[in-house]
Amino acid sequence: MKALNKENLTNQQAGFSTPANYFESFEGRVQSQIEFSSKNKSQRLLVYLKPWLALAGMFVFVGLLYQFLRPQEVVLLGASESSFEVYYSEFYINQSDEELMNYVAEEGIELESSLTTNNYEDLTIDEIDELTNF
Amino acid sequence: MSTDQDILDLLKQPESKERCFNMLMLRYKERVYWHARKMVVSHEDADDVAQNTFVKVWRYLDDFRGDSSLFTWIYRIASNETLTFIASRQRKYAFALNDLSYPFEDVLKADPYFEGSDLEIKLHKSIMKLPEKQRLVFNMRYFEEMKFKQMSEILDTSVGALKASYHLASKKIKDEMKASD
Repeated sequence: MKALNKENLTNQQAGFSTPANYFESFEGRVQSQIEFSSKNKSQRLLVYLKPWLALAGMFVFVGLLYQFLRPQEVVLLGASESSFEVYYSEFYINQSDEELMNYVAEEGIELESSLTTNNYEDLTIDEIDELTNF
Repeated sequence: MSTDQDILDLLKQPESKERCFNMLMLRYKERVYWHARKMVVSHEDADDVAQNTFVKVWRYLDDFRGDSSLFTWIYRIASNETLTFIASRQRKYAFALNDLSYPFEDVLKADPYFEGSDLEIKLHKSIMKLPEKQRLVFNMRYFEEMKFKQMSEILDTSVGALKASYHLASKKIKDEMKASD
């Protein structure tokens, strides 16, 4: 085979050549590339982390936005566990009789007439319970 | 020019790393370049591969323990860099919309850094039709006249497999060139 006989090759590199002085300046170019790549190492890390940081920032932003814009809790008066009821029951429980009387007087709360009656003897136990149950 | 042993002796002193690296470049730059050039064909691509090879040599020079010779170590890096470069280029053009499959003869004739004859164009065209690893084996044996044992250490393949691969590659090239006559 003619072509596989090396005597037929134009040069040692089978016809390939390089620009003039290519090998003389090779070391300098490699050194520049090493300097460039080590300088850019931290920048490359930042480029890699950038989308993840942006994603994390977006989640924080959405979380904060939700905190500011979410609808306020509505107190349901009819609910047995509502904070309203808890507040009033605690108020009555923690007050002494004297304080309760003062409160009634200050607020001008009208008590039912039956409460002021002296005929306690005529009342049944259920009626007494009903009248004293605030 | 310094020998591998001189460079290895220098490598034992950490403060001499830069000097040692320059000696390595001086000793191996041409062989690495030509090794890559016959695989990737264009000068620009071969320059990229050769530079990347030495950037890696610099990066991993501290880890070199001398388990293999410097020659084997550098050639292994260069071969891996070359195959990685070819694979990435194939991936890049796999989804290209334009038809990039220009006739290989035209690519070589248009290359300002190719001065070969028509016979050499035919030879390179036949070589380019081989699978990458077989091409690497053929080039190392035919152009670089490397011993099979050395090739075995570089490519981490048995001598028998390399001989078979080279034999098959030579046969394919001869057949291809005969067919194109």
